[in-house]
Amino acid sequence: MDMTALYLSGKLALVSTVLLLVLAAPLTYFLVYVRLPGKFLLEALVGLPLVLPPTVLGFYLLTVLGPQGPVGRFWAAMTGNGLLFTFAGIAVAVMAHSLPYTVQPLKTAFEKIDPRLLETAAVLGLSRIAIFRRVILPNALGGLVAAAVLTFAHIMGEFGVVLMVGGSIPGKTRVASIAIYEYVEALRYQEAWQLSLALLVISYFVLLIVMYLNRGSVAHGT
Amino acid sequence: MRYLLCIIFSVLLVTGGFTAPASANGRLTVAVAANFIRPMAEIAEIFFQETGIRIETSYGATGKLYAQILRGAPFDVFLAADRKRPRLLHEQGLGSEPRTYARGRVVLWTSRQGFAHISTWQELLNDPTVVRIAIPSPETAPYGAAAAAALKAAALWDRLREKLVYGQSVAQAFQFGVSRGVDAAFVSASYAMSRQGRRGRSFPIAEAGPIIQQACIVNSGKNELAKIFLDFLTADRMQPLLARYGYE
Repeated sequence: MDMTALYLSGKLALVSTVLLLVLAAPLTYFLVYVRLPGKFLLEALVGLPLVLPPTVLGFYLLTVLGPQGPVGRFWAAMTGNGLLFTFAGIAVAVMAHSLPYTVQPLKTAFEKIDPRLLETAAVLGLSRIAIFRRVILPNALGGLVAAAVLTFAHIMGEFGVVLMVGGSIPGKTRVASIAIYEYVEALRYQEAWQLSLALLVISYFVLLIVMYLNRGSVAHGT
Repeated sequence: MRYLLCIIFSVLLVTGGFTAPASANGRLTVAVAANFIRPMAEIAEIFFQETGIRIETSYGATGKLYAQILRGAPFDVFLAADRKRPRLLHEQGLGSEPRTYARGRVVLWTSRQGFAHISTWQELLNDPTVVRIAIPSPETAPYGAAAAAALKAAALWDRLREKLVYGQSVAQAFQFGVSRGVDAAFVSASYAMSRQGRRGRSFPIAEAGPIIQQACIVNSGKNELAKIFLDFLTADRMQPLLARYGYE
């Protein structure tokens, strides 16, 4: 079986999920708690990857991450390498594509927190950052887990965006979904079956872990 | 919360700790035109036995691979299915002097039975039961371009255009044919000679001359190893192997 592709998918999903959680939590806080006229414009922008065809998103990312694009140029100045056809490049791309999958569950969880809890914390003199860390995040644990899992699963199966930005470079950007696609094209159905089955089993176990964690948090009343 | 973060980061550490399998030394990344993927697997194996240099392949339509190289894809060698793209790379200062490594042929292939009375590719295409025909995209796949040129030369293009189904590469056009999604497919002789290909029937397209496939070293790659590989690939002793896959 193509372990390199599977390993690459897992690594991509893990790295991107963690980075996305770190980035999306403050963003979601902003979306839920900061009052701002015209905030719906930003919300629509964050949700855009949900409805945008992956090829359209991939095409824009190709422009932005390419050697002439702003992000690509910045990255090249910092590291000396381009972003296209690299692991870092596809990580940035799947993060852009999966942002709504992280933000939505977080938003639901943040909105469910009792406002009196936050008012009390503010009255007791906690700073906004302290409230975020010590009141909001622990109370939104279920949402965090849901966000992590949705994002992880979404990235494990990512295809179009990776193909456009990363091509299919063995060991660097040929993730499992692309390997499966190429096996089918090359009529190597047995390998396609094996890799598909591996993805299926992994997805199932990810779900099992979430259910286990959720059960724990309910039992402890958090 | 802290508990969850601990889990996430320990998993991250563990996976980060795995080193990517094998070292980057003695390794070549080769962009291979889809028609050549079958002989390439065998060639890579022999090359590894003899030199200890491992070859990773990335395959697709020639035009697609060319576009990727232009944008900086990390390939060491480019095995195209035409002369045009390697020459362009060379002219742009991105590739070495192109060398011919194989001559292929385009054929019309069908997995359907019951065409015993038919002897030419034009006859097959004119058969009323042939409703859908796969062709590799002429824009990006040289075999598709050659097939399109043959169709135009035979004055069949305008009449059959509605029946054409475009594959991204020869590989996809062949897959459409094998899965019976189409009644016939324009593919390379190498695919018609594969295990699945021999179950069907192929009609040579004499009007389309041999497709001269050229290769070049990508300048940003590992030039030393790449040159060893190109010398190996274009050596005379490769001829019998290439012939077995339908090349000359």
